[in-house]
Amino acid sequence: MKKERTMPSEAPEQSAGKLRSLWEQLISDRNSFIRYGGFAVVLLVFALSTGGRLFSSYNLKVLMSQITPLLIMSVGMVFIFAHGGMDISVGAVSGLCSLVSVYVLNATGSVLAVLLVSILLAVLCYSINCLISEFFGLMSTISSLAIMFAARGIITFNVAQTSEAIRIQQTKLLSVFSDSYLFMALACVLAVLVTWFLFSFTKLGKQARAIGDNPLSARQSGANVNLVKLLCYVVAGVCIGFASVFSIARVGSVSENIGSGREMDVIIAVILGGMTLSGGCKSRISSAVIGSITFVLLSNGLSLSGVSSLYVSLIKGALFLIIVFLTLRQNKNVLELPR
Amino acid sequence: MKKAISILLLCALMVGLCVGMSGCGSKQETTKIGVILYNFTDIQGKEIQAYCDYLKANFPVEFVYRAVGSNDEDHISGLQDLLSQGCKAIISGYDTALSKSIAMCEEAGCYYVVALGSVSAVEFPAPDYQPTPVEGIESKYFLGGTTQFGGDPAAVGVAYAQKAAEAGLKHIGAITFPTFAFAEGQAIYEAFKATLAQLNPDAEVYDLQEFMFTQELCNAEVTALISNHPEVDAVLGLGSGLDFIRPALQAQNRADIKLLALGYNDTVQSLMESGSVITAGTNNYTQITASCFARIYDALNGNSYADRTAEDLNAVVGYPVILSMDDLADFQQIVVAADKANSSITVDELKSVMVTTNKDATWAALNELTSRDVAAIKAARG
Repeated sequence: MKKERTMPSEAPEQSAGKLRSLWEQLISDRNSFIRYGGFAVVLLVFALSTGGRLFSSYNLKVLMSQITPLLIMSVGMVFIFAHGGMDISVGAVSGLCSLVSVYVLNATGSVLAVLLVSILLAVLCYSINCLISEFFGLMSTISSLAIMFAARGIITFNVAQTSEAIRIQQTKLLSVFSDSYLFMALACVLAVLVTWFLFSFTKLGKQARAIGDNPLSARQSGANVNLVKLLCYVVAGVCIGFASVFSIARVGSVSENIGSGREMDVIIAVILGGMTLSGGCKSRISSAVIGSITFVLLSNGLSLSGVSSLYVSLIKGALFLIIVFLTLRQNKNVLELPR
Repeated sequence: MKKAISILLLCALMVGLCVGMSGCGSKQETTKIGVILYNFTDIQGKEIQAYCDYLKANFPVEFVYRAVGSNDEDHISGLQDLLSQGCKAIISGYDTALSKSIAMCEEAGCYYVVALGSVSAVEFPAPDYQPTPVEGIESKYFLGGTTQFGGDPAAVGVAYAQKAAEAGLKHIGAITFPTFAFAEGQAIYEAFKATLAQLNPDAEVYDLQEFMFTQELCNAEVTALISNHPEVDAVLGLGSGLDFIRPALQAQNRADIKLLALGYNDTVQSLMESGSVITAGTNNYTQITASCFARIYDALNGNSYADRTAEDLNAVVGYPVILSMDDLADFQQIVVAADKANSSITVDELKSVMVTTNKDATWAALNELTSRDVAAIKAARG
């Protein structure tokens, strides 16, 4: 009687080995897991908890109007974070650009002039930020703090000069930035494509990441570290200036707190996207894109779910700490290189 | 490859969810009304919320609360969230980003009313200060603002001056919020100064000082006042006197300086008993909420007041002042009553001034009801 040949069953050790290997792969690529997994979880949880209101036509428009300025700012800021820099002047510079945009628009009625002035002003602020940091040897956080105070001071001074709000007099001129969701989508796509190209396929992006991993090594490889950092700040400035026009179009007027807290939104968005603040080779534009969307979904979803606004900041803060912990925790086999 | 497949699956899931769940949501049996304030933890927030709970128990409405920051962006984001939640009307504490807010509400078919301040049809923007129409002010979805102090802020200044004269105060500083945030402050100050000059020519009222909403800036103004006028014996605290100016005086170790405060909190009783606070007062938040609700409820039901004209942009609400311990007792019993059924405006009284529930209701009657002083309310209660 012939014995039927049976396939040898998989040994338990092999299954355990596969699981271990999967776990190790997950740990080594945890940034991607955080990026896409976080997005999926937020989307699913709030899709269910809001009973579908998250996807109502009105709310999708709201999401678009909130995502657009944050996403454009975040993809610009990736260039700074990638080389290990830090910036906390986003909100103040954005507010200053919005203020100047209102003045220019009311004086000239030209949208093009507004765009140019806003971008140039942001580039100027960020260039000064970089120059202070590099030439005086200050930590990038300190130099950005100085820019933040200066910009915030200018805004407060201007707002205090009048008892009425500083507002756009002809709101229809900027209506495309606030009411056209197709335009917002196109602007996001353009910003992502341009920054992705610069970051992934040009020397600027590659050298920025190299500096983030090891500035000494990057310098010895031929990278002009100061110039690369300056160009990164310029790219960030262009993005901030562009996004500021969307911000002011959405609000229509300037208060002394305009842009306040925006820097934290950008940092949280980028971290939610799985990017480490120390930068380096694992920096991705996709982190900013996915992170921005996740962040806005989180804020919007919590609100739609009926969570009191008293707890929203608490929840965001807790999430931020968890993700920072996950992204900062290094594999013990990874050598911590000198910076 | 695996990552690409995962991303594709995720996108497919998102699209599927969007298509499948768009338009879903529980059927609304009650009408949602959003309420926007800076916070709901102070007396203002608590009183408004308490009266809203009372209204919820008596009308087919529910309230959704949203605390926002003072900047325009936070206000717009908060408003968007409320509109996304399906609110059909918004009670906004402030006229922050007014034109934009009205435009958003108009797009969403939602009514909008400003609860804690009056609005005007024109503004005078810098730098040329030419009058400019406020966009959207004529929209049918904008139900107007709310004029405080019963429409006569000077009366508060007169009452406070009489108490100051009685108390024998001679050297009085005055601190308030900036004019753009508290337009009535100047009128109260001028009336106070003029009345005190008549009652006590020897008394001196110093120039009005302003600060921008933070304790640190208030401390700076109080420090400046005391440095410039060491003989000061009282402060007319028009900028949340109890919440900002009293702590500033304590920080200067000058709790001996009396306070004529606009404001009310749990410390008023003990401070008035000790003589540290001579006067106090606050908006009647029941009247404010009732006024806003009446306009909203009528608008939602397609009704309007026959006697309300385009010039009647703002409703009028009262401002009870506390000049004595008896006033304080009445205030606690009526104005901040825990049981709103016994508060400044009952449901029956409110229904009598809404066209939806009383076809003969008038705009004048609404404003009369919502600007009654404590004595009139007591008389109405019998």
